[in-house]
Amino acid sequence: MHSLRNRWRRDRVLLLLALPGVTALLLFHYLPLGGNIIAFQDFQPFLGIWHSPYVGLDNFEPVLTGDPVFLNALVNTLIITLIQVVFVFPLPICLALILNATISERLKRLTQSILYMPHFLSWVIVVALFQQMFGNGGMLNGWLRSADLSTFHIVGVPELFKLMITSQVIWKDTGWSTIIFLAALSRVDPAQLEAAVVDGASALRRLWHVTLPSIRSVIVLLLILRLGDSLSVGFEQIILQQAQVGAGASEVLDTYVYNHGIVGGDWGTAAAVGLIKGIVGVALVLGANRAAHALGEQGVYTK
Amino acid sequence: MAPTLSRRRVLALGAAAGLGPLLGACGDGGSSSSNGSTGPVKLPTYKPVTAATPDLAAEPAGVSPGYLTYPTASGAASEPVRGEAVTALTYTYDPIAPALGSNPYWQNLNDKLGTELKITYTASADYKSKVATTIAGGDLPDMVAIQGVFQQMPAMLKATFTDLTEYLSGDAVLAYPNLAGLPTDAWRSAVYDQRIWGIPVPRARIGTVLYTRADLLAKAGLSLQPTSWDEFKQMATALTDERAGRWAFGQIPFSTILEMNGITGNWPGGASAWQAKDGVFTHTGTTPQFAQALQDTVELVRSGVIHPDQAGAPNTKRNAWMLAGTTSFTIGAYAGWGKFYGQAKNVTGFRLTGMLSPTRDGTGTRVRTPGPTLSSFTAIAKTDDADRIKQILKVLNWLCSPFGSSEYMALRYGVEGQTFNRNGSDPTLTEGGRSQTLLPVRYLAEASPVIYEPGNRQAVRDQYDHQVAGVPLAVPDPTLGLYSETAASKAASAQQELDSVLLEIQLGNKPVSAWQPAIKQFMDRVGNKIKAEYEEQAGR
Amino acid sequence: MGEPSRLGIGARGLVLGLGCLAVVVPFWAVLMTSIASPEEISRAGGFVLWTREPTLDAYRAVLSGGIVTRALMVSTGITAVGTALSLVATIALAYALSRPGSLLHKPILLMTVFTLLFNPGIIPMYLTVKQLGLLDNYLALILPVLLNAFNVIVMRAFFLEIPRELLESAFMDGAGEIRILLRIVLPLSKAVVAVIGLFYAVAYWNAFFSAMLYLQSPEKWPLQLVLRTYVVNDTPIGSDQLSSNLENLPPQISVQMAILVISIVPILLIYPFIQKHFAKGLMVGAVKG
Repeated sequence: MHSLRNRWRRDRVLLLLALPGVTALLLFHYLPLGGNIIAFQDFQPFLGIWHSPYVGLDNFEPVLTGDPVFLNALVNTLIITLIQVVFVFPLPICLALILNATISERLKRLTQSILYMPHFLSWVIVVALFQQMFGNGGMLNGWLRSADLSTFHIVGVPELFKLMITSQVIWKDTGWSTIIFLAALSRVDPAQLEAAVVDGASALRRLWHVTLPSIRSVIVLLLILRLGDSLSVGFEQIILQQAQVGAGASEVLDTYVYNHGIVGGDWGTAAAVGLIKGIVGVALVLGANRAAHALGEQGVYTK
Repeated sequence: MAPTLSRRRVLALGAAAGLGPLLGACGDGGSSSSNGSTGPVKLPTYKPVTAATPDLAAEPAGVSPGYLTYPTASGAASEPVRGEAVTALTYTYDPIAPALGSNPYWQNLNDKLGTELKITYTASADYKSKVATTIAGGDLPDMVAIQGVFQQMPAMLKATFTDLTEYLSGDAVLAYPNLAGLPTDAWRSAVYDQRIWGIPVPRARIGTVLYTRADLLAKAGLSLQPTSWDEFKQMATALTDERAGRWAFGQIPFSTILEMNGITGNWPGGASAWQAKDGVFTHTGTTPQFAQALQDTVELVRSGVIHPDQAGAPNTKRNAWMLAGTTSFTIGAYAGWGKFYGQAKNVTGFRLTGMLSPTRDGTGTRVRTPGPTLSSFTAIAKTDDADRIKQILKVLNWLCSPFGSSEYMALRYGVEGQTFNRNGSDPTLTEGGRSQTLLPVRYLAEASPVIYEPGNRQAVRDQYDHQVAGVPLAVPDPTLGLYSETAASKAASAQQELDSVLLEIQLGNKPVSAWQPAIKQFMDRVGNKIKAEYEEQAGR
Repeated sequence: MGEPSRLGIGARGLVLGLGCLAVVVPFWAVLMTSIASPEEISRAGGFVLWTREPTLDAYRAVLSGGIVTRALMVSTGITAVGTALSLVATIALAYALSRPGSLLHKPILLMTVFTLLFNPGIIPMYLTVKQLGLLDNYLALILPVLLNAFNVIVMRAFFLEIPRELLESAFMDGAGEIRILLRIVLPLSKAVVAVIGLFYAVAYWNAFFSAMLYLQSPEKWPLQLVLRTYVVNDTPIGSDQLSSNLENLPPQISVQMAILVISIVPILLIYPFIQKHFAKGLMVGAVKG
């Protein structure tokens, strides 16, 4: 048992190192976080936080009373998150493994550079490009029509909306997301791999028993962080394409906040939903972290 | 949007098919004190200002004057406004202009104006956030452009900005001759709680236009003005060739179909959706004509004459379709008419006209949805310094200099030989001039719009003809000058849901019968309250 | 490593090939559209895949007036300074948090994670920045986003993987924390530092909203915000009634694409330099040696 004094002596340099970061967080995150009191006010900019009247839980009404429009947004958000965790999350890992296995260093670098480029396009451009190619009046359909084939409808079909935005996300971010896995893969011990080859393990077995386990902790970490972010799914991407399918199929929490809060100057509603998202996010991170511990992983933090 | 109109006024507005005397009329009622606390405010006296005689006269009232060439002589410049620099916050729909240091146009403007203009501005998409944070922060520039309606508007204005009534009401405005030339209806939109809060940036009366590729219609042998619903549909079908990738419309022409059924309204958003008769307000969404319009719309959509990617397409896309001939129609604000020509320089035979909505069977009076009276109004930050207020008003007055004056030259074109050259009598911006004049001075204050297309007399005529035909048909918006707190603060969410249902019906995802319960819900939630508020104000 | 099978190579090649194609084609369209002539754009009604009459008009229009050039410099400055500051703060905090059991470890860690989940609204943020006197100051674009908790946690995870024996032996030799950080931990963490640095750089490069809120005059604007006025300002074809302002203006879409190309090129140039640090075998050498 170390006394407080001893611990201080031992760790004071660490605390000093943490100081700039912690100060920045306190000043620019925690201080304004208090402004979330707006969630309990009928906030008017000209009255400011100090003079806007309090309205208790009024801004939380849609959430508490289960307003169907809000619930629809919530359900859409959860479905999209589920799809993305199951189908989109593993893809960069696979791609990273493929890239990693590429022998030619130059080829590897070249393909990497190409594949991560879409990340830099803003959603406005990506959506415009997508519609140009796959829209009902776009290039693909124009060609199909002139060849007398039936047209390919994905834009403007409510049932396919979630599939469509998922494919857009895959195109845009898969390459970029490999970066962090590649960094992790660069740490895999070549000696271990050599030993496995000598033992006669096939490529697949080497993958499963040597490579993957060494990046397992990174995968788990990122998964937990991704889950904590579950309720935020692509605002800009969706708001740009919402009018094609209507709110029923496309409204998510962030667009709900925009359409029903910010557009009408309802800052209180926006803050209220933000708080709800935060609370749910905390629960998800705690839960996922605990599950990670059960699997023997460190997770985001340990006891 | 404040003051009470007398009952008689509302009736007069509602009954008039044309706007004739009302637009030119000075002030309001006449019976109220200029104090305004007990009665309707006296709007600024209207005294039109012209620096050059137009080739196409501004008649009937509400039509913009047309100029086929730029006037050769400009009058003498007015006195510069002396005083300390003036700061302003506004929005822009254009790319940004170079900074003052690299902007000779701006430097010249400051010089002629006599006062240094310091303008902060953002893209219009971000403007709402910028204004909200600026007001919340408390440190306002001298002038702020107020766009749209804010929650608790009267209280917000009272707390944050200067009441300008004593400087502008009635004949007081004559001290600022250019301001007196702004249309009365535009002033009406800057009045809240019987006080005048700012200088309006006026817009043409004509409202949203069904832009037509007249050259494509001529090629197909079609009339530029169909006279019935059937003819309209046939025209649309004739212009559509799916295999060739051509469709008639770039979006669903819902407001056109509404007008054809005899009612007005700009959807989504529900602007101009209220009618008034004998002091009773009705939301057009509750009328049987609206339901009929929905039927018609679904029928039109089903006939396949609308571009399949129309939903949610950005305006740049729709305009590109128009220019490429992919579509023959697009609906847009009148203010954008001129810009098409700049982009269409390489489209041979390009001719743009505006189409009016026919009546269903060709008989009876056609109607038209009125446009907004202003783009925004410019308010002055709260201050007690009367001299400062007068200086700022003089600056705004200068910015409203009429077409053809030398101030206008400095405002729109800059310095001859440097930022523009002359092509005959028409000024042409140089490349530098083009980017420098993007400074959004015109979103602070400007004179009433005129029709002028350098080197394109046909375009001027087309716009003028459209206005002459369309302006008298505009049905005045009875809510002009009225303010409903419910509409300003609680309606946004309900309106979103209503728009959502409308969209789903138009896209075919929901049946037309889904409209009745949706509009009923809207009226129950906010609509009836809004109705009561308008009626109370109108009846006073 | 063992012999990769033919099938393996083929399959991998196919995946990579298709992936690259899916990326290159749209980008090619962007590039072509930025140099296509107005007639071709008109005919295509949007993006083009090939241009027979290339023109640099769009680039000229964008670069005239010096606004974009200036914005480029602003963005570069902010990104460089911001990334440097952020990396220093992140490395320091991540290292401090890589000792479970140290004083205040849990509270600081939780406090950092917490920032990922709750966000202050724009009005409270604006008021805070204003109170701290940072309005109209470039620091307002850096300090509020100095630390990204995600990056801190990831870097911390990488630091935690460094074998304790290395650190212990350094302690035995009498080295202090800072020495260990600089001499041992950082050299072994080049990959993650490069990656996190890249993440920060891209975030600073792409940021626009805070610039819109906190800066007073457009001449101070970074590139992405300027780009926004060309691309997102997508209201009815402008509200200026006088077309004389726009004679001979290149098509809107060409201008948008030109700006896009201009805003991506710098990042594309930097990445190859970062890539070098993903080399293998850094760890291993240390243990053996």
